[in-house]
Amino acid sequence: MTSIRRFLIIVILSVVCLGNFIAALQGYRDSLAAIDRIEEQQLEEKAHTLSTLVSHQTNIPSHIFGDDTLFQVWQQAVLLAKSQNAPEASFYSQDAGFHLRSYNGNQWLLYRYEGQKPDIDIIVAAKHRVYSSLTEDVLIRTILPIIWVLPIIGLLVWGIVHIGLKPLRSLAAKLDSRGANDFSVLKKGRYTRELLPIISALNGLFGRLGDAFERERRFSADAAHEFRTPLSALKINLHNLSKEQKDNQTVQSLKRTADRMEHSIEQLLALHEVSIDIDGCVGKINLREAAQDVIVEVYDQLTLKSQTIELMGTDCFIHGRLPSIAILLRNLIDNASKYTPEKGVIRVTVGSRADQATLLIEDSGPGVPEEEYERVLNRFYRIGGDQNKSNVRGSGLGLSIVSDIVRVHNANIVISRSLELGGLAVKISFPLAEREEV
Amino acid sequence: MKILIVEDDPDLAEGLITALKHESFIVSHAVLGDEAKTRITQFQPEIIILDLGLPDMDGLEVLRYVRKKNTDIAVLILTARGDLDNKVKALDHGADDYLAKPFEMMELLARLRAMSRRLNTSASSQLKIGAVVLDIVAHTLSVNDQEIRLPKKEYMTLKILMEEAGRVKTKAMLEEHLYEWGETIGSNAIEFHISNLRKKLPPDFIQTIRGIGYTIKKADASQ
Repeated sequence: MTSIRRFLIIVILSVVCLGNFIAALQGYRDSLAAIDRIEEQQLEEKAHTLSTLVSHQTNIPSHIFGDDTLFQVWQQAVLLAKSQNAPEASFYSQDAGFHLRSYNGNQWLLYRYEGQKPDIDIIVAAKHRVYSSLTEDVLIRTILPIIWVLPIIGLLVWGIVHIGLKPLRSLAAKLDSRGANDFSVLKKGRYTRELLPIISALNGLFGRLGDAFERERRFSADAAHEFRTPLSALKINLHNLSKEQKDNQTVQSLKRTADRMEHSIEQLLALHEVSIDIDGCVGKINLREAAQDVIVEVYDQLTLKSQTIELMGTDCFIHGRLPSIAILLRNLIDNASKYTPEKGVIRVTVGSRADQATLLIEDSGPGVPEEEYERVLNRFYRIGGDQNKSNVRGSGLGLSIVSDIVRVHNANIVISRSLELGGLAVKISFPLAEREEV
Repeated sequence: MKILIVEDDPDLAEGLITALKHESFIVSHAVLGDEAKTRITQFQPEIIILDLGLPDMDGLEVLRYVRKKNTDIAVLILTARGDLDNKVKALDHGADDYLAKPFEMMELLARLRAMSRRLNTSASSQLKIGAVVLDIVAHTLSVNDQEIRLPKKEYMTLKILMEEAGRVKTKAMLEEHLYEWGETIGSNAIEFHISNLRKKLPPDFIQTIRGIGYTIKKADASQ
């Protein structure tokens, strides 16, 4: 059942049709029975007339009844009288009463009456159902109007169903117009009794969803606070310690550990941010500007390794959520910087071709062997285990978060070798946003 | 220079106090928002380092209180929630700067120095990178002890880049700064100022980051 309305219209029209046909059929049968009864009464009357005539010894004229009626009067095996259209031979074979019989190409209703005088048999027959064509005519006249009226009934039912389904439609419209984060309960007063169980179920669902969403949101904020504040304290105290003990190896090692922890925490928070990314905020993003902003933020780290970064290309627009796109850009640039040696080059290129916006991030690092491309994108996977030959430590979350963001944005990621720089080339193709919009 | 730290995490506050005292700042500390309000009157800080997540109130409320009382105090916001909304909200409420946790101490110190220069209370009113010295009180530039005259817009452009040495400034960011100072900027104006500045400065002092903007290397990094 794809549509309640269509279902109701078809079923109601079918029931109306069926009801009418049954009623018409019943009427037809009743009419036939009535006609039969009239025929029988007429035959009885005629038989009585003949009987009276016989008992008065009157000569019976052969044309006493019309052409539609035939009769025979028998006294034992002698035919006393008959109508012109009656056969010479005996017309009956059965007991007294009414019988049907075929003769001369017609159906005859036959009545055998044993007259008042003994040994007299009177047979009267009339053409059976001379009026049945009339009855059929009546039947068609009864049914035909229904066929004309059927579309009108259909339209009426359509309208009534339309009005009847109005609460359902208004509920659907209300749900449709809600924001993705609107978990407020629906007011029960405005809906019909049939919809109340649905409203109750929806309200329960909204309540649970709202709680879950709030917990997620709170977790994000709490986790951020609970991780970042002690980490800040740790870093400041390490800074103070390193001021006092300039060449202490343990302090340097602790600093590196704190930096690694910071990186992992930021990646985990980013992963969480992307995974709860259900609240709209989707807008048109200028990929070039987004890349520019992220590069400005990460530039500090690149200078530590004396790496050069450049941004090429022109403005191009995609639909998406800016925080996610910023995380994606940041992770890809971080990754390129991490695996590119000192004084290396990182190049970010944005551009649009046909209906696609492309983001290309290349570096002059060692790149990735072709057979590892697929696995690079898998969560927690790091080439060569936790300590690969590039001697870089990381949480391994970076690229898998990237692939999550890519999936959410209906984009496509391809890893290859950079033709110009020789290192890893990560190319992401987004569906292009229309320029005319917004 | 007097700094009031409003931060509820004891370890972080302790570390900050030690680090800032080490840099010769006079430091006071408040844990609660109410405490911070009294401290502002008693201690008369010039800079407040304000954590947004306080136990008794939203840090923004302290910020509102400061702005109602005294607009001269510079406020630097610290927050664990590094999202854009928070940043915009804090700056809208009149914060002078914003730093997301976890931060590098060097970064915090650089921001504090920039703030104290803006307050004109800094012991040194000079920005010095290599052979280039920009005096932000006298508005003069000297390269290798030779004084060079600078038109206003070039001076401003150079000041922004030197104040935040080591960071990249996009053309849009520079334009915005100049615009904030009431300057009208034509298209290609920034390129024009930069090209003029380059003629007066040592070679490669201002670097172009292709497709992004301009930067000046930090003094220690260039050595």
